[in-house]
This record gives sequence, structure tokens and C-alpha cells, in this order.
Amino acid sequence: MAQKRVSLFVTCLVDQFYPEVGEATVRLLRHLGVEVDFPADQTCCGQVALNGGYRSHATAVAKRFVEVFRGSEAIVAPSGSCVATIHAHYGDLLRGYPELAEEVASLQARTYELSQYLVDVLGVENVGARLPSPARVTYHDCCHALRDLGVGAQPRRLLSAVDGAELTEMKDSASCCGFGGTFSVKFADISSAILREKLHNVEATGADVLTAVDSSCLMHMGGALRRQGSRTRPMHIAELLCEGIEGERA
Amino acid sequence: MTDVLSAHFKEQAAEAIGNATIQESLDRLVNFRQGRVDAIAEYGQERWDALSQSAREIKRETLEHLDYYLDELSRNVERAGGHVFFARDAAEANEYVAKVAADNGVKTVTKSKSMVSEEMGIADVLESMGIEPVETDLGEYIIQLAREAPYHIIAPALHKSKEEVSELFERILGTPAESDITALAGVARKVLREKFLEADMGMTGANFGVSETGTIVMVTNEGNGRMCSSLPRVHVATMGMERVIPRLRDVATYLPLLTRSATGQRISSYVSFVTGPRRSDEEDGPQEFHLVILDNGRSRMLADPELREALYCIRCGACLNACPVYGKVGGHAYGWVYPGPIGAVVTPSLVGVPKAKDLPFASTLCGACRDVCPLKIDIPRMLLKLRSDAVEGPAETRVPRRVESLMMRAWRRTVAGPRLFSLAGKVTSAAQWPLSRRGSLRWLPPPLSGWTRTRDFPRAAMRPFRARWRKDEGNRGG
Amino acid sequence: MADREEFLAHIRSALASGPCIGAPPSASPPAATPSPPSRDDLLAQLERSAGLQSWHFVRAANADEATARVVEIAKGHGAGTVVRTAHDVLQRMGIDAALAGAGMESVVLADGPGGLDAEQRQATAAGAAVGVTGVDAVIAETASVALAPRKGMSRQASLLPPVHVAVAMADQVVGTLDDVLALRLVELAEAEEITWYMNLVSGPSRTADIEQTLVVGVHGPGVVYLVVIEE
Ligand code: SF4
Repeated sequence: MAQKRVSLFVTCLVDQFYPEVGEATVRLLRHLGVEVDFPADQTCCGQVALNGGYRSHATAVAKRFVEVFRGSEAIVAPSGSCVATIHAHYGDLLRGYPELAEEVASLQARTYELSQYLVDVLGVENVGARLPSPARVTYHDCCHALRDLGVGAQPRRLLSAVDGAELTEMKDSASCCGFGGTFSVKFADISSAILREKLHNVEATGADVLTAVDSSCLMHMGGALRRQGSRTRPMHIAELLCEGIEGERA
Repeated sequence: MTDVLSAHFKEQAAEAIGNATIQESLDRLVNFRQGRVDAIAEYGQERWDALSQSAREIKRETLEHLDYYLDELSRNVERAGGHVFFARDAAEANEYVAKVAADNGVKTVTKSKSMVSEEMGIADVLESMGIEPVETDLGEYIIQLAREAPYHIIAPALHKSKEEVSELFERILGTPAESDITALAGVARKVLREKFLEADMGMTGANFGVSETGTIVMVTNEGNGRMCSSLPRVHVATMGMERVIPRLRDVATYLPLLTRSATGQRISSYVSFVTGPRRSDEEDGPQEFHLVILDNGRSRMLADPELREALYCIRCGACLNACPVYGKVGGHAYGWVYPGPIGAVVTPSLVGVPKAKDLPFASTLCGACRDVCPLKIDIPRMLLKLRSDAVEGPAETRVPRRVESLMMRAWRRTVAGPRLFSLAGKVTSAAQWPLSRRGSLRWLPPPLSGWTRTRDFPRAAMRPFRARWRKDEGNRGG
Repeated sequence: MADREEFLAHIRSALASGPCIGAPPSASPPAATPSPPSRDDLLAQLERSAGLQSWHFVRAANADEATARVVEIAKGHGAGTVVRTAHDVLQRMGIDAALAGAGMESVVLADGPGGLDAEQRQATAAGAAVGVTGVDAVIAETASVALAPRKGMSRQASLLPPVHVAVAMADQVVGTLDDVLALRLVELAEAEEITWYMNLVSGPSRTADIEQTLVVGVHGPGVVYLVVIEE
């Protein structure tokens, strides 16, 4: 089999707030024999501007993204919503650049959320992870990963294969955590009310770890878990899958 | 037209979140959700998807030739002996209905549930003429007595507890307090039965208007739609202009989608097909039939290729039931006739974005609405479109937001290249330093204070990924 | 006021902006409809769905048995007056004589020599305990009875009394709504008058408008019987 190569799109949030998630992603991919590069010119996918109604800004950022990742064989990001932005919205955003249409389509076809890449492209379900001590894990379906990308089965397969992880489904795992980007600030009361119900379902599982494929949702849920002094720990799936695997530490 | 209170979304939402009775009633939406899931499972997912796909196709085709189908519909209604009125806006529609009522010396109007007549605000108009408008759908009747707006497209009094209904009946109808729901419904049956028998005009909506035969199709459960279209001398049906479907047999496509999505029913108790007034040899039925076809802003949605899809809506309410925001703020927060996700699209589109400026933004864009929609209407995509209208659109849709737009401009420059981007990260991290405790922040200044009221905020990393990557590469490359 | 031409012209100008974004044409045609089921299958399906739709389902081997059952039902509801339509099947059952024999009055809600005027008909229907009608068709899939009022077939017999008894012949049972609509189109093509009204009745009148709690019989009949004559 030819050597797989991917370009990491680390996403702005992971880059600036959760670099460990980026490191875990690299380690995991390398552990599975994938060559990883990091196009240094990358910044953001434009989701923030798009969701805020700043379409022209989002378009400029999208155009830049296409240029930065032009030469990449495949693009992998540890974030469902960023990949979904590319898949579901770059066509609309770049409608004014018909000369890019073909390139956008090809970019979309080459861009994957991490668990999607592992399961659907590499065909791996057991990455060889082993938890230091047994833990109950519950998985939250991030809205965009689930509904725009169809990512739901892949992370569950990967998690089921982790040694020492007991995957426990929460009630309504597919219901939104109430984040919604600036929604969580502009409509903080509504966002918090939705979040409260979500966390109730999380905690009802008695999980030690809450995992997901998106750092933004985890930042939201984790921020409240922490505030409440909950024993449930938020953990990005990349980090969880890195537990106990061989490979260099960054 | 019914007053638009959508500008007060935030206050209205806060009120609902703080109201225990309302929260309890919203928790009951789970029944609708489960009903829908079971009904689709029974029908068969594959068969359902095929139906959904044909329904989209029919709508797409119909709307693309809407002028043709409305022409055909109106001519067939007239051939069947009915009258058709095309109303450009609510005021014209109200004026017409008022004239029909006046011409017929109408004293009492029984109304069956219709979102379009809510949109028109016809009840107030009739009342001002000294005509008694009586809502006859139980839920609508309750909110009419309470002088409130419908809470949900298919369950108008969803937010009322039985105690509240009992109090309302006691206060307005003078009936004794009653804790049994069947008995409460019995009270309404008795009062409304008399109204049905004395009414001279019946008003109904129309779930579908079949252009091929000039038929109005009404879907009801209580039987009030049958009463309104059978007993009074005059029957007036109102419909939004997008409700036309080409062929009679198309009803077989839409009906299961509607009832199974709405309440999880295989079919509703009654489906009425009305083609003109009574037949020449019929024993009973209205002598006059009028169909009012309303634009009221719909042509603007039609003209916008990105919003046209919202006109596919068959008003099943499934998106409300699935929406995490509706599930917390309920119907009144949205401030007009159409609540929930579809309301967040329709209201700004019909009344103008500035009058409903919060609605396109009051969504997490989670996509649950699109998932459950039998027409697969891409509501989140349309919310994004309305957001961009509010931010970057022409003057009549724009809502000024100076500070935010300055921030966004700065953001755009920041993400235009890695240099400024890294710098911004460092600045953020440094600025957060004094506020943070063990890696997270418990307090942030406005506008971020909303976040930290209930959630800690993470501190930006001292060394972002890109800084670590260089080192990593160096180690390997060495 | 907008006249038709002006209104339609406005729509045409709205449509000039081009096709809808986000509605790709369907790739595959809708699923094929299954082959028509046998009469026995249809009846079995109807019996199942009738139960789910809260009909009291009655199979009668022949008209006599149907008559006996209808009389029994009316009596069970303590009816003094039964209103009915002029459907042939009820005539053939000799329903009036049978009801009279059991001490009940049977009134046909129809215009005619010696009949009641409109006002009297409405008052009688509203006061009757039971309404009996024939049907135009029955849909097995959803247990829906199609009633198309016309001369002799009042709208009120199935609407105003608290109990409705619908009597169908087995050969009136079809599979789906689409079958009924297709039949209707055939009839319409031959009809002189294109004005028509039809109700599909699929169980009792119901509401869940208070606390999502089901209540039957809110405006229309709360108790409904579907009698199918098999012969
Ligand atoms: S948008 Fe879809 S789900 Fe919502 S009411 Fe309309 S048809 Fe139903």
C-alpha cells in the first residue's frame, strides 16, 4: 500500500487553546503509519464569520483556505464543524468564483474529520489505545459532524475498541449542547438552559470521560462541568485514542 | 396584520425559561418527537425517504411555475361555483373577508385553525365590525379566551396547564372548576356546538389547494373543520399562495408526510376535500364558497433563490419539536404567528429582517430541524442567509452593529496570515493571564460575561500548536 | 385590490430571479407501488388498522347480520332517534323497519315530499344519538372511510350525532388513499358537475390540545363503528 500522506488542518481553536489535541492527532496518525505535514500558512476555516453573517469575510477566508491546501493529498482536522463548514458551505461561499468550482469540489472530497479518516479511509477501528485505568466513556454527537458529515458510527467504533474504555450511551446523545458559536454569548441564557439538560444526560451515565470529535463543543460542555465541579472529564477523541499507544511525545 | 413582537425575543425568551409551568409543558414535546419516530418506523424509512423526495420535487416544480398553478386553481374554483380573491397583503385579505361578511349580514363566524388567518389578524377585524369570531379548535379556543397568540403550529395551547384552562373557563364562561381534561373538553364541546349551529359564516385554512380540480384540502382531528365548512351559509377559506399542489393524487404524497411528522398519526381523523360550495342537489352545505389566496411577502421569498425553499413548508411543526431553542423558549418568544425554526426563517422574510432582528441569530444551527423536516428544508442554511442579509445586505434588511463589525474586520485581517494570527494568540493569552485560575477563567468582561455566568472559559495556550509543531518537526528532521 | 392578472404577473417577475438554490432534482424515481393485495388481505389489513384508529370494527357475513348489529349498537347507545343517509345499502338492509321494530325512530336526512326542511334536518341530526351512513370507499391502510355527500347523503349524519356507524360492502375496500383519489378522478371526468365535497373519516373526533392528553368526541362523533358486509 502506498504511503498515506495527510495535511493537518489543526483549526484555530485547537491551535490557540487546545494544542494537545493537535499533538495527539499527529501522534495518532503517525502511529498508524501516515505521514503528516502542517501547512504553516493555515489559520481558520471561516466558520466564525459565516455564522455571524459576515459572508464576505468568510468568503475571503475560504478562498485562502483553498489556496493554502491546494497541494495536499488529503486534509484531516480534529473538528467536525470545521470540516462541515468546508463540505457544506464552501460551495455557496465561493459561488462567485466559478473558476474555483472544480478545485473546491475536489478539496471537499479530500477533507476529513479525524475519526472519519481513520475508519473510512484507513479502515482502522482498533488503534491500539489502552487506558491507564478502566474508565466509563460517553460520546456526544456534535451536530455538524453528525448531520453534515454523517459521523456517528466511526467514533463509536474507535472508542469501543479502546482497551479499558466502557462506552456508555447517554440519553439523546444527538441533541445539541447549546453552543452555536456566538449564540452561546449572545443568547447566554438559552444556551445555558440547553446545556443544563445536556449535562444532565451526560452525568446520568456516570461517565468518567465525556468525549467528542469537536473541541468547541467540549469547551462548552467542559466549561460547565468544571464550573460545577463535576467528576466527568471532557476529552477530545484524539487524546483518548492516543492513550497508551507507542510513539513519540511532542 | 397581527402585530409583530419579534423585536423582544430575548426578554420573551427569558420569561419562558423562568416559568416552571411553561418548561413542564415544553418537556411534553417529547411525545410529539416519539410519535413521529414511531410513525416513520412503521411506514418504513426507505418508503418515507422516497415520499419525502417526491414531495420536494413536486414543490420545486410547482413553485417554479406558481403563476400557472395559481391560475389553474383559481379558474377551477370558479368553475365549481366558488369565488377567488387574490390578496397582496393581509390588509387586502381582511378587507375582502369583511366585505363578504357584511354582504351576508353575518353575526357569528366560526373559525377552524388556520395560520394564515392568524397572520391576517382577521378575528380583530371582525370583532371591530361587531361580528363575533369564534375559534373552534380546542387549543385555539383556549388561547382566544386567554387573548394570546398560538404557542405551537399544531398545538396552540401547548403551554397551558389544565388548571389554567379550568380557571380560564371559570372566569370567562362561568363554568365550575374542573380538574378532568375530558370534562374540560366537554365544556368546550357544549359551548362551541351552539356556536356551530348559529354561525352564518365558517372560516377555515387550507392545507393544500389542488389546482387540477380546484379543491381545498383540510386536515383536522376534532371535526371543527367539517363543521365550519358544512353548517354555515358561507364558507371562506384562506391559504398562503405557496400551498397549491398540482394534482389531486399529490395529496397521497403529502398527507402521510404531514400527519406522521406532526403528531405521529397515520392519518388525521378527518381530511376534508372542498370543491366549491354545496352541489346543486345536495342536502346541506354552504351556499357560498370563497377562497382567499394570500401573498403578504411570500413573493419576496419566492424571488430569493436562497429562501424559496422555505415555501415548501407544510406546517407540520416537527422542526419546533426537534429544536433545542424552541424546547426552552417556547412559542411566544418568537413574537409572531410562526414560531420555532421555520418561524425564524418565515417571520423575518415576511415582516422584514429589522423587525425580527434576533430571530435568524437565535439558533445554534444544529440542524435538527432539517433532519426531521419531511420536506428536508435546509433551515440552517436559510438562517445563515438571513444573518448575512442583516449584516451585509441592502439597507432595508440591514441591522446596524458597529462594534461587532469592527471586530469582525479586525478578525479578518488576523486570519489573513499566520503572522498576525500567532500574534493575536499571544496577546490573548497574555491578556487572560491575570484572570485565570488553574487554566481556566471564571469571569470575563462583557460581551463575554454571558459565557462565564455558567461556564468556565479556557485559557489560551502559552505555546500554540504551531509553535510546538516547529519543534516537533525539528526533532524528527534532525 | 389586486386582480388575478396583476397578482400572477407579480409572481412571474419574482420567478425571474432564477431557480431555487438548494433543491437538486431527484436522482431516483419514487419507490414502485406494491402489487394489489387480495380481498382477504385487504380486509385483514383493514381490521388491523381500524383497531389502531379506534374504530369498533364489525364484520358481518351478510346484510341481515349487519342490520342486527346496527340495531344492537343503536340500542346500546340508548338511541331514541337514529338519523341516516339514503345510501342503497341501508335501504337493502331494511334498516328503518328493523330500528322501528326495536322501538327506535329512523329519520332520513334528505329533502323530499313529506320530508324535513333544512332547519328541521339540522335540529334532528343534532338531537339524534346515532348517525348511520353508507360509504363511498374504505381505505385499508389507514382505516379511512370516504364519504362524498350528494343528493340524499347529508353531511350531518356522520358529523352531529355523538355516535357514527358507517356501513361498507367488502368490495368497497381499497388499499390506499391514492386508490380513492384515482377513483374520484375517474368519476369527475364523467360528472356533469365538478363541484364536490368529500371527507375521509379515520376514527373518532379527537384532540390532545390540553396537556397532550387524548380526548375523543370533542366536536364530531366520539364513538365510531365500521361495519363491513362480507357477502
Ligand atoms: S419547516 Fe419542515 S418540519 Fe418545519 S413545519 Fe415546515 S414542513 Fe414541518
